[in-house]
Amino acid sequence: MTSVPVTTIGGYLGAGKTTLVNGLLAGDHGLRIGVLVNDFGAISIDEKLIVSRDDDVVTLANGCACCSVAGDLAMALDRFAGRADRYEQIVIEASGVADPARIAALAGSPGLSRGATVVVADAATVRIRARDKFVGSLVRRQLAAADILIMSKIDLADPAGLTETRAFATAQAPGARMIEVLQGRVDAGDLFSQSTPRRGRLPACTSAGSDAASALFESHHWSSDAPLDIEALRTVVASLPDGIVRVKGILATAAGGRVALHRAGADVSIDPLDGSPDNTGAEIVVIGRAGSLDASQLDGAFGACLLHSRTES
Amino acid sequence: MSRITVFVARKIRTMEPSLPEATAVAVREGSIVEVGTLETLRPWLEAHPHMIDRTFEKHVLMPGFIDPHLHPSMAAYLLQCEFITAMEWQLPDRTVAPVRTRDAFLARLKELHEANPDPKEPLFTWGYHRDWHGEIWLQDLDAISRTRPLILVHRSFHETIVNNAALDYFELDREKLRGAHQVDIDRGHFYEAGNRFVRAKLSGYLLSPQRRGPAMKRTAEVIHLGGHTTVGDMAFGIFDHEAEWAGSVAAFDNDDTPFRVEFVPHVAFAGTGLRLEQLAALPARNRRRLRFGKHVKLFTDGAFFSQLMQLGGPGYIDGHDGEWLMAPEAFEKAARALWNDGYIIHVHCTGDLGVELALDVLEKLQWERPRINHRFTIEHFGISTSAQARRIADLGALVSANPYYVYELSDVYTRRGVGHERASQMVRLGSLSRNRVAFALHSDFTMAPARPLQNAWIALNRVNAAGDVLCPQERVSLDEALRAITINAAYVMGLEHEIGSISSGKKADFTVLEADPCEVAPLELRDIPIWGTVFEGQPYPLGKR
Repeated sequence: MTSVPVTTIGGYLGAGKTTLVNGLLAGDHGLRIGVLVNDFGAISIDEKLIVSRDDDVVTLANGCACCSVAGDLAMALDRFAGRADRYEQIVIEASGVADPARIAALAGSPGLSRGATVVVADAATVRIRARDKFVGSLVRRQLAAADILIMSKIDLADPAGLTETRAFATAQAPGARMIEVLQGRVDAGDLFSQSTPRRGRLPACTSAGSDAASALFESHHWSSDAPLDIEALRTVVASLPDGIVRVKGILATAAGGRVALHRAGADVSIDPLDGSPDNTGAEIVVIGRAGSLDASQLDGAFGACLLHSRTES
Repeated sequence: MSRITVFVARKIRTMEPSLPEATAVAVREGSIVEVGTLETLRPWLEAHPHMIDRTFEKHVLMPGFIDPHLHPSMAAYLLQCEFITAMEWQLPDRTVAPVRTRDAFLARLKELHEANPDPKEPLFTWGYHRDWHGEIWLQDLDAISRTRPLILVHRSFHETIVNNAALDYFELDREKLRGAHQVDIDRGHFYEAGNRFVRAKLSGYLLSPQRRGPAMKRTAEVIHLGGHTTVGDMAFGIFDHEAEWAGSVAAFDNDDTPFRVEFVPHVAFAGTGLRLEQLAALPARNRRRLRFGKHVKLFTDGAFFSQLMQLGGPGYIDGHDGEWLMAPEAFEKAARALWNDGYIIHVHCTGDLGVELALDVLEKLQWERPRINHRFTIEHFGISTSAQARRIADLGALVSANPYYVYELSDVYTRRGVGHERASQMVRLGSLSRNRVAFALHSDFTMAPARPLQNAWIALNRVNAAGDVLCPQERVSLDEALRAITINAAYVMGLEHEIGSISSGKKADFTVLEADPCEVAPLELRDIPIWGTVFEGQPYPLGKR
């Protein structure tokens, strides 16, 4: 029996966990996700999408299901694990005052395996919360537990403070991959495609071969020792086919700095990174639905962006 | 109108400052007609038919003891276990002597096993604790029996250790559980989150309908044994409010029960408990012995016995963090809704940061919508600061404290976790007294023995289980200690007009003692034998139910 990966979504009250969960439940990601939520009342499920309700489990037309924790999380997880054949992925929405690391440890149960710990932080308030006399220590502990840190409500944060908030979050969550979102909309592939995602070290997405979810996604890793034409790359990445759910990369620039490349959905962003590059080249990872990646086509497209290849031609 | 019964006693300690001592109390239809002497009662007795009852001629009557905070539904589980504990526990059928070494624990377990002739009947014990009893694992239990399921329920309820026979009996699949988080199947050890695998099976067994009923009856015996005539179920609905109500009605709603239960519902958080709109309907269920008032229970920080209370700076010695049981914002929101609806709010606060949160919110609510006589109560009051004791007074709040923390935990917490200064000052009742804050004492049974006289003894002496005196500056006087289990406990429950002292018009609830608390040495207070109780005029001697 293959084990079902369990992804934990943590973060303080009001950070945007439920918005994220709502997005996963309603999302068109093709995954059968079972979600354990803290408070049923907060979940907004379109009645038209509900196909059944039994034993506090609401099953949706897209194959996802939602179950209320109602007291004992570990016992609710066991009930869910008992139906693991129905799900490719289990998501736990941790309580706002839980230490996500402790919740994630619950995945060490028969039939389950541990997925990423996703921590949601409200970009507008996280720095204040982290200093709060009652919850400061808790919020810092939550951030430290993150494999993936989702900065929510970027649009509500003071733009001037955002840079500082990013630096703060990076310091509090060393090694976590950071995703910034406006409305809590995150690509499911981003949360589930990797077993041990770490920022700065680009992930080997297909290494978690036993994970049911990883079988649904594939990834392609491309690297070079030479710098790329950033604008040419932007055009290439923007025109990749729809089956590609995520592109990310760290690239050296001709000027000696480095930038981070992200494509989530249709949006491509290229942002400067602090510090000097480890090497003069580029590392790019492309994640797509199984069967959607054409490795030689990607290699050709990225290779065409190499600066030295232009000079030589 | 029924006949008046006059109970004559060697001494009646009324806990009424206007008339502290008396020798006769006249009772009619469950209520006190008048207290005084046969001489002062004469106008009543000349006007109405009466009988003089001299049963208590050599006894001392006090107002019926009140424990405003215990958990009868949880006790049903515990009372089916054999106790092997580091502390003495008095139970209706026996007194459990302390067992404080590994050898003594295993010897006692073997004795209990051999005393039970049925080799298949599971044997549950409660009270095991590594600090006292060392390491005991499956192999040690197998050495005692390979056929009888042996189950060690840890003192904290967070751990269970079982033998191979128990793994088989409760169908715990070794291969499936091998490697599970917080399970060490080869040592028969289930702890914290891993405890759920075994807890579900044990609960199914211990709380089956044929076992739950008798266990609730034993709970009633324990409550009677402590001399209580009123207890508070201080988190009604924490598991399942309808099941708890049905269990309480079945066990307590009859004339064999010598006490009433005041239910304080806990309000919804994390998906469990009652919602505001359900609360208002509860008093319609009230019966003579089972009642809802306008009180509610909320929580701030984690369990004191597990060192999960929230400490302010400098925190714990080992640097770990406590827990919040409700997010501070969620607590504030719930408290505001209840406050504005006129509820009396009881807040579980174990550490000083938990107390701080409750007081910050109370101060905010007072600013927004002042309430006089609000009776906002801090429950447990483990670690606090002297500044907080003063602020509790400033804000008009009350305290219902668990002094047993001092007795059982001060020694260990001095050495581990908290340190001497704060551990020695835990449950700072002396500070409350100096700031004129009214306080009650509770047991939180099953967390501590339901023995009001022992709790008063701790408040009076601050002697711990190791025999050390802890911070004598935080002791209180005998009068304050006795008020904390009678009239002030009634006050915390909003029932001081009805119970808690012996005076005209109140319920005829008495605890009947074999000695006068004001005459024995302070260190002998807890040893005063209890004859039994009188509940609403009806005598209930101990051991004759």
